[in-house]
Amino acid sequence: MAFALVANFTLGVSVSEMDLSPLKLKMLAWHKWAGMTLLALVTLRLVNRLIFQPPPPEPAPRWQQRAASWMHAALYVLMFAIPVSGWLVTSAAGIPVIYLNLWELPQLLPKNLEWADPLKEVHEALNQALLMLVIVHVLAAIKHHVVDRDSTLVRMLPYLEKRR
Amino acid sequence: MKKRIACLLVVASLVPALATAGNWSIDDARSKIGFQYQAMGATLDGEFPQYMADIELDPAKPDQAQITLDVTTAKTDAGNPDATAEVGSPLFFDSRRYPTARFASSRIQPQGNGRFLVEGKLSVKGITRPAGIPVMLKTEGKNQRLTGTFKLNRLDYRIGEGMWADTSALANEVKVAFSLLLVPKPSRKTP
Repeated sequence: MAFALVANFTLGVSVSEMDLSPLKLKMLAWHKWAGMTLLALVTLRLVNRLIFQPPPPEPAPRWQQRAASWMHAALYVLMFAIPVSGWLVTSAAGIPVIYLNLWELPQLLPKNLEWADPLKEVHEALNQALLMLVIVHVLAAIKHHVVDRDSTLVRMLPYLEKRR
Repeated sequence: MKKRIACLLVVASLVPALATAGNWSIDDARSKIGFQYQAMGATLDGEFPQYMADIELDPAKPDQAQITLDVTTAKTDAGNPDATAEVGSPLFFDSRRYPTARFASSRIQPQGNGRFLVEGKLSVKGITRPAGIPVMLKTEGKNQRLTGTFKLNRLDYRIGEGMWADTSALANEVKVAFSLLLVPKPSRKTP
């Protein structure tokens, strides 16, 4: 999911810099499909997280515990808000998402071209914020792995061996 | 002197006839020529907000009517700002070389109940092809309402050349729908 998120972020950035072309239209459609898929996955993940308690955090100073839980909350909020904001952009532009060229998703807003640009700016700003948080999140995880030598990082990554 | 005045009168009477032919004008505020197309499966609504018509019509003999309609291609609203910015470009309407798209009727076949098939020629981007447009004519007080829809393939008129010939991104079929309110011209009697 993290990989798909980075990939769709990159796709979104490159498509926004393209001139209008059939390829751009296709890439935009792929970007929307991926975004809607991520929205479904993050929703499942949120439900899962609310039902099942995550394992207790590794021992760390209190300020780090609090920062970590704020960080996790912010990451979830953004992972949810970003695809929704993108959906709002395409709704305001009057271009429904035809998921996988098969299903037309409902429009969240009636067509209103004056709202499309401001909403797009919100979508971009949320992405900027997510990018910053992801950088901090990754740096913190690396710090725990390399400096503190605890299992914070490996427990996020299912294929690594547990550290003792 | 008399001769001069007579001469002026003749010229003056000719001027309006030259400026706009036909015995009906279109009430722009209550008329619309719209179109629908599909980009990546999503339907978008566009409009041709600027057009001019020459309509010679006797409501008692509608099959004798003569209709010519010119649409200003550069003014096309493609329903999306990026598309509107692109639609006058050489790949689409090439509005600099072909400022107008024209439909000119040649034959009108009555089909009953106020319905007619208007046959004629549609010229877009230097390409002229025969076209048959089903229309409906309805009396609204002193006015006449002319409505109709038809489909065309944009590639028949090279609307969207080069990379835009790719119909998997931009569908070939375009649906045109119009509703025109014809108002009798005051300068001439309508029969």
